[in-house]
Amino acid sequence: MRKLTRKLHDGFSLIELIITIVVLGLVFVPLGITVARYVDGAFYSDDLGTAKELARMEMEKVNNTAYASILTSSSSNYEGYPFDMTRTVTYAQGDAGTTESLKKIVVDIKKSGSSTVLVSLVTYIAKNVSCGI
Amino acid sequence: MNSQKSFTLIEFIMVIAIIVVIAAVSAGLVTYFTQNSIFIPNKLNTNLAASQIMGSIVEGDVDVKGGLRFSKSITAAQNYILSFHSQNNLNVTYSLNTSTAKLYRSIGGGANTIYPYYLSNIGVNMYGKNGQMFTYYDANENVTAAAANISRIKIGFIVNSGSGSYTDWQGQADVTSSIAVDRYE
Repeated sequence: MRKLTRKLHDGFSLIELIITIVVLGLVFVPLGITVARYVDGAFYSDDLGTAKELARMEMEKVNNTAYASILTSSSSNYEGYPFDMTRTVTYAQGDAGTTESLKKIVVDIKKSGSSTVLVSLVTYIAKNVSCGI
Repeated sequence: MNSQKSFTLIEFIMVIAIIVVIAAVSAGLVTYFTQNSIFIPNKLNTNLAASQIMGSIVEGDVDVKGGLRFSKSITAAQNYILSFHSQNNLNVTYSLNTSTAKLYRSIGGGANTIYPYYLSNIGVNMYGKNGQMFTYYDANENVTAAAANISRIKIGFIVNSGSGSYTDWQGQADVTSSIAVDRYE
């Protein structure tokens, strides 16, 4: 009986409290990290979606440009978005002087101030070639 | 054992201080988890809506075959209204109503219905980018208003759930893309 009374009035010891806090930490820290990663993922998916549409937009601009005018160019804060666009044009076959030629167009979209390419699209446009090259 | 022994003032203050610390930390955690469990679905839903709207205007869907990519002609070109003749010979009109903040679609002269249907939810709104949804360019990349001269169409819009702000736990998608119009006959 005496033992029981002692137990009721003693409360937790310091070591018990510390163990409780550590266990709570073990549960909530990974949970917090997981949620934070989901939040980052939601923002990343948004960036990726915007970058994809901007890259496609640049490709449609290329599509609407005369062959001779398709040149390397770049633009920061593309269309007012916090993204940088780089259009790289090289000759895959021939050059500016030849009758037949093939241009390779690469459009890269990066987040402003970042060196990671979020979206990269590639296309080829031919001049005076009717059936392959 | 003296069962009448009471707490001292210092013990009371310590208990209250510890309760305040634990309450503050757990309130922060609960807010963080709740906010993000509401924000993340809102964000992903608006991203999905924006992607579907852009995709169906540009590439078409089951009702509008080919979309703008394989359109036969552009019949109306305004800041918030775009009509074109689709691959399956239907006149399709997309119009963004700036007062209801919803996108409407009419196919073959039919009624204007909210598109996509889930945009009819209260709180999900759509706006043009910089005061217009459609911008039209001619073959020389100059802005034009004449439907016959249109060579490229820029489409920009914002889809919001509520205010669209992260601090209000709401999502927003802001996209701009374009399509070169080839007039397939």
